[in-house]
Order: sequence, then structure tokens, then C-alpha cells
Amino acid sequence: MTIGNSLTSSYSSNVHSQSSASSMSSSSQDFGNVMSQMASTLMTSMDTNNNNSIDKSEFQQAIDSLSGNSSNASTSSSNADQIFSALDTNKDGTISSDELLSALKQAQSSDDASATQTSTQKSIEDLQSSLLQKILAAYGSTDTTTSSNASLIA
Amino acid sequence: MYIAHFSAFTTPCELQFDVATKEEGDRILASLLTDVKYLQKQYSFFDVTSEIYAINHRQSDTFTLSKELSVILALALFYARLTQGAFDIALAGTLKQAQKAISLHEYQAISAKLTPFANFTALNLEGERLYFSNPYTQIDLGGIVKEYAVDQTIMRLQTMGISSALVNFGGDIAAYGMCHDEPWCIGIQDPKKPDVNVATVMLRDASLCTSGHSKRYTAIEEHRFSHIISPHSEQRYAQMSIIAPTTVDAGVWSTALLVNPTLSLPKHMSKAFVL
Repeated sequence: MTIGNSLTSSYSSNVHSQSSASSMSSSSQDFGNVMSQMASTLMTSMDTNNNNSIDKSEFQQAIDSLSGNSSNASTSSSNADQIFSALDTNKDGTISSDELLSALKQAQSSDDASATQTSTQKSIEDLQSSLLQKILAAYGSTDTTTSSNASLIA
Repeated sequence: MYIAHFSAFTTPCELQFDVATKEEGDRILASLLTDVKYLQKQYSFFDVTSEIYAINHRQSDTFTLSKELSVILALALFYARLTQGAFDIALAGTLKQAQKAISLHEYQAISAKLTPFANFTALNLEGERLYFSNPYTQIDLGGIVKEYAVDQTIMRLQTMGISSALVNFGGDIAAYGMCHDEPWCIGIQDPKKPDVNVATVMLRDASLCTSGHSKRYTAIEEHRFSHIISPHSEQRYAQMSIIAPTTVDAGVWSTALLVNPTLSLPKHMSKAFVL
């Protein structure tokens, strides 16, 4: 099997619109600014001695404050230690604003990946439903409104 | 026009679609290839991580399917009934096991043993539950999943707003819109002379599939076994090309008519070429 019209150059175009690429870049920049602001706000609220970094005691205070726990329960302390250790990527004993910003971005990209997977599954189901409707319509089925495989049972 | 060539489903594939920039084409191609590779892997007969492999190597006679596979299987069983078993995923899957034989004698012995189980009536699909009447029946979606992938790809392109496209996965072709203000012009290759077209077809918003015995086969002791597994030893036609609204339809019926030429083709389809 060969295809006519296919023995041409791999790509040709006279259009040079870059509008979608520009808007993507702008959107990405806006998102980065929001993340920076979030990191800055978190830093200000947790950095009680104003030295531009968060040490373990400041972090524990913030966790206690968020969980409404003023006592140093061992489980709460253990969880806080684990989170602090994960955020302190250069292991200098403090969390810098850069480390905080990096963690926020990583959390966001993880959420994005999960959303993309859900969206892809939905997309597959939608396409499958459309294809079934098209096939059944060709065979004169009166019920082309469902993607259920029950509609394929003769 | 953006044009890409790649391999999938063990055949050469081609995509052509209209986009404004090469970058946009690259982005769309990457997205489409992800889906094609997923389908190829998920429904492969041989890939040990595929859902089909898990079904064929099941530990019990009942299997819970993914939602997508349950619909594909329902579609395959729908066609098995329509074609009176000429298109049969259980026939293909069960007898495919004989192709691992190293001698003609062994091939014939395995085939004889498995033939009673090589029939779609051994399967019972209820929603997303698949029941087997015996442990020997296996299924192979090779005759439908490539066509399904072509239809999914063309529909993905349509939902992306692409106005003109052609998808060709190893001779299973779908085309919509126009190519340079004309319908897509498809050449049907002479199986004995690859450089010669025996016919040309103008295709627009439709699919064309060609099935044949000559291109893909297994050879055992110089005896050729076509990739189209048939209970009939006689091969009246060497090649069959069908035009239909969907690639799944065209692919299934081109195979079915090759296996059983006495079948009546549904009215919404047409024979493009018979050899």
C-alpha cells in the first residue's frame, strides 16, 4: 500500500504565527510569580527570628501552630523532622527560601501529572464512546447514545 | 502538511496532518505516539506486561477487564457474530500458539489439539467480566487493535481542530478532509510487485483497509502460514481492500471476506479492490 501525495517534503508552511507559544510562556511566568509569592509568605510566617531561613525549632512551631498542638508529642515531632529533612535538601540544618520554592513547585508538578492522567483516561473513554456510536450508527442501531458494550450485543 | 513516519504494531506507519508550524506538529505527534504506544503495549499478544498476556495466562476461568478492553472485546465479539466467525479473536489467539512449533508435524499436532477450543463461543463477556469455558482458549486482538488505534488517532486529530489528516498504520488507513484541495489519493500495492499499484482510491472522511496473505506469514519447513488464521485451507483471494466509515469496520470485514468470501458485505461498505 502506498499513499499518493505523501512523497513530498516532510513539512511546509507559510504561516508563522507564534501566538500560542507566546501565551504559554506568559502563563508559565505568571505561575512562577505566584509560587515565589507563596514561598515568600510562608517564609515570613515561619521565620520568627528574621534571618531569612527556617531552623528546626521554627519549623516545629509552625507545624504545632497549624495542627493546634502546643505540646511536643513524639509523633508530631517525628513527622515534623521527616518533613524538615525532606525540605532541607542541602542538609545545612535550615530551610532557605529557594528550598521552599523548589518544594512548592515539585508538589504542584505532581498534582499536574495526576490531573493529566485523569484527563487522558477521560479522553480515551470519550473517543471510545464516539467510535462506538459511529460504528453502531453505520449498522442502523437506533441506540447510539451510549458507549456501553451492552449496545453491541446482537 | 506535517508528515511523520514511524513503526508501530510491527508495521511501518505514517501520519500526515495540516498544522501551522512544525513545532505544533511535533507537539501533536508526541502526544499521538504516546497513545499509540500505550495501545500497542496494552493489547499485545506477546508482551508479558500486557492485559492480553495476563488473560491468556490466567489462573482461573474468570477475568476482570479494564473498561477500555471490555468495550474492545464487546466490539470484537459483535463482529465475530456478524461475520459468522470469519473474524474471530479466539480462533486467532488459540491457534497462534501453534506457530511456536519447530516442525510441521508438531504444528499440525498442536493445531489439532487446540482447534476445538479456538472459537469465540468459548468466551462470555458480562460487563467488565470475561468468562472462559475452558483453560485453552486464548485471544488475540491483532486483527482489530491496530484499526482501533487508527480510528482513535484520527479522532484525536479532529478533536485538536486539525482540518485535514491521513493516518496509515501498515495499510489500515483513515483520511479526512482534503489534501491540496483534493481527496486523498491512495494507491493499493501489487503484492507481487511492491513498486506497482494495482488500483488507486480517492478517500475523504472514510477508511480503507487491505488484508492479504502474502505480506506477513510464519514459515515452518518451507510451509507458509498466513498471519490471517483461518479454519479453511482454501484461499480464494490473495488480497481484499474495503472502504468503510471507520477503520475498525474496514479492517474487520477485509479480513472476514478473505477468510470467508461467501459473506455478504454490509451496505454501508464497499469493496475497493479484490485480487
